[in-house]
Amino acid sequence: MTPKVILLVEDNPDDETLTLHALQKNNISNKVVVARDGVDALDYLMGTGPYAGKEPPSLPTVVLLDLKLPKIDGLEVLRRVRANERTKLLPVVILTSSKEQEDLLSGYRYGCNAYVRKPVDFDEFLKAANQLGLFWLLLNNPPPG
Amino acid sequence: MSTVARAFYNISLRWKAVIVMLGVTAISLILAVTGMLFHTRTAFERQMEQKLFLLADVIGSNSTAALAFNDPLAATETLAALSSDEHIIAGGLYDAQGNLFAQYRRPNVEAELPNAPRADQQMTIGGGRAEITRAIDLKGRTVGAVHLLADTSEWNDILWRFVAIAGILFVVVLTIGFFVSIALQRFVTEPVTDLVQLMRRIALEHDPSLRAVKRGNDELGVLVDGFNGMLDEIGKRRAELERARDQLRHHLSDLNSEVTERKRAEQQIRDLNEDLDRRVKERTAQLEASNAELEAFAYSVSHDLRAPLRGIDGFSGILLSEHAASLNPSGQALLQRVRQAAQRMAELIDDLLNLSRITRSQLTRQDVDIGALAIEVADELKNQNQNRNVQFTAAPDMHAWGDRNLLRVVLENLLGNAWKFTSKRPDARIEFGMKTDEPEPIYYVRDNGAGFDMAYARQLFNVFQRLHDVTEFPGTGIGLATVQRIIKKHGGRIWAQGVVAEGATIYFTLPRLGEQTATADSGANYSDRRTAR
Repeated sequence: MTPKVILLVEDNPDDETLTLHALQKNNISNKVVVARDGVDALDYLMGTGPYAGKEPPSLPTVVLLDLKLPKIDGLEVLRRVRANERTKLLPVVILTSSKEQEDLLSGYRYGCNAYVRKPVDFDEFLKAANQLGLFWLLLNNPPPG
Repeated sequence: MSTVARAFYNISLRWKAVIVMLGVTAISLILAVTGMLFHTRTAFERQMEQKLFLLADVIGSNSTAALAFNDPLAATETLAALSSDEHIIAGGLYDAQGNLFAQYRRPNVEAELPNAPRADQQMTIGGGRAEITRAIDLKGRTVGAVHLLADTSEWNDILWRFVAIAGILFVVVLTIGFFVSIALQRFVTEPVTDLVQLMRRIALEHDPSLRAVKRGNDELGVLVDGFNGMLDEIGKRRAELERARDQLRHHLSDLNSEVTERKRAEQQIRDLNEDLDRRVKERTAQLEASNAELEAFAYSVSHDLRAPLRGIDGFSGILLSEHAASLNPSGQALLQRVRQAAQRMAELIDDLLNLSRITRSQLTRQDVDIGALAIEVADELKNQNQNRNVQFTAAPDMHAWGDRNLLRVVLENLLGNAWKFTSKRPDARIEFGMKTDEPEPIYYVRDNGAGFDMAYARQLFNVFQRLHDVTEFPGTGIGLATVQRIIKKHGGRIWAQGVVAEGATIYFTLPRLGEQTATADSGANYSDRRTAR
């Protein structure tokens, strides 16, 4: 059984640090792959770009996807993930600053599995990371395959 | 109608009168002359008859002897006396048996004496001759007869003379009659011809002051009176008519100028409308542009402004939890302050984003059971503050016409405020009600909380305006501004009443606008529809 991997798509290094810290703080020791933009994330998932040629890496257990990203934004990443036969069932959690209605609507319309707003309060952030990890890594049964 | 009669109708009245007068004169003259002629002829005949009978009687009595003695010579001599009368052209003496006994004939005159004429009392006249036969009686016995033949051609002379005189008389009388009738007819015809001429003048000149001259009180006078009365009436009518026409003309010109004025005004309105339309379009475009900008701004704020705060709070949190040993208590407290400030900033950003979302959002009006909505919100508040004892009441059956989501935001803010400002009271009471005795329903949220000074009532609704210390009552000062924006978006009014330490009441109205068209309408849509007409 391959170890459960989390793909964190996040361009902000502070947020990256905080997220990783929060996961670690909550004893979630799974491997976290970080993609810093949409293109990077898609390359990883599809086995293209720098990941080409090799055996494509196995899919992560969950993708934590920010919406505002350089190059290709989060919604487009989500759309392509859902459009691809290999990745279309992949659990994707949108983890972003915004709770703008249009973001929520398009997030769900494009087929995210959850939408979590990153709290400013670090205590809340810790709680959110803990719950996300527990839920997606332990509680949730991933799609087969 | 015969042609003569028709011709007569066509002659002027004046000549009609003359003709009538002359006709009457001529007929009476003819009758008079005829009567006289008849009388003269009768007199002539009688005179002739008497003369002939007298002559016959004289000859008869003078001839009795000659008859008795059968002496024709004597008888002829007696008859010869007849020559003294120029009219007698023949005379015959007959014996008792009717045989011509003696005779007289005027020389050079053709005459026939009849055989055995019968005695008669009457004269026979004709063919320019008159004749009589007279019996000669002697002692009651007829002894013979006398026959006289007279020439009556003199009568013709008399007749012709008479006719000539009558003719002259006729001409003279008719001439005189003509002039007399000419002179007289003006009494009858002049007023009429005057009337006719007056009528022509009136017809030609249209002078309303013209009147016929009355000459007497006869039927013509009455006619003139009637005519003048009619002219007066016509004049009056005409004056009225002219007045009416002037009025009409006046009205017409008024109407014309009014029409022109109105056309001009309409053109102005059209121009203004076009201008307005253009400006509305421009303004709409500007608004849309600025709305889009605002949206982009809000989006960017929502995403980017929070991230640094998360960093500040996050790293401060890590410092506090993992590096507490390297900080003294005062440093730890300061770091705690940093975190509070960051969190408050995040709250402010969230509230501002809410406010901006409400500004940008469209209204979807519907009938809302606002009482039930208030109870829902109050229940949530109770759940969140389970340590609080708040007595909440809502009047039954309260409805409003508005956007359900936005009204929920209103109630969340108002009831949330009431909850917040009654937090220091053990007997907190919050009431949501409706005043129906006003022209439009007024909704209110009343609490017995901290209240406020009425001097600052107006500032309550300004963004970031707070009347209380944050440490006393937390909050961003955006809630009431948001509420006010929602109420104004609905076209309603909002105001507040309060007494420090006794409580506050926030009133608001929600006009039932656009109730018939239960469709989504925002302020912008509403104005679009108005200008589209």
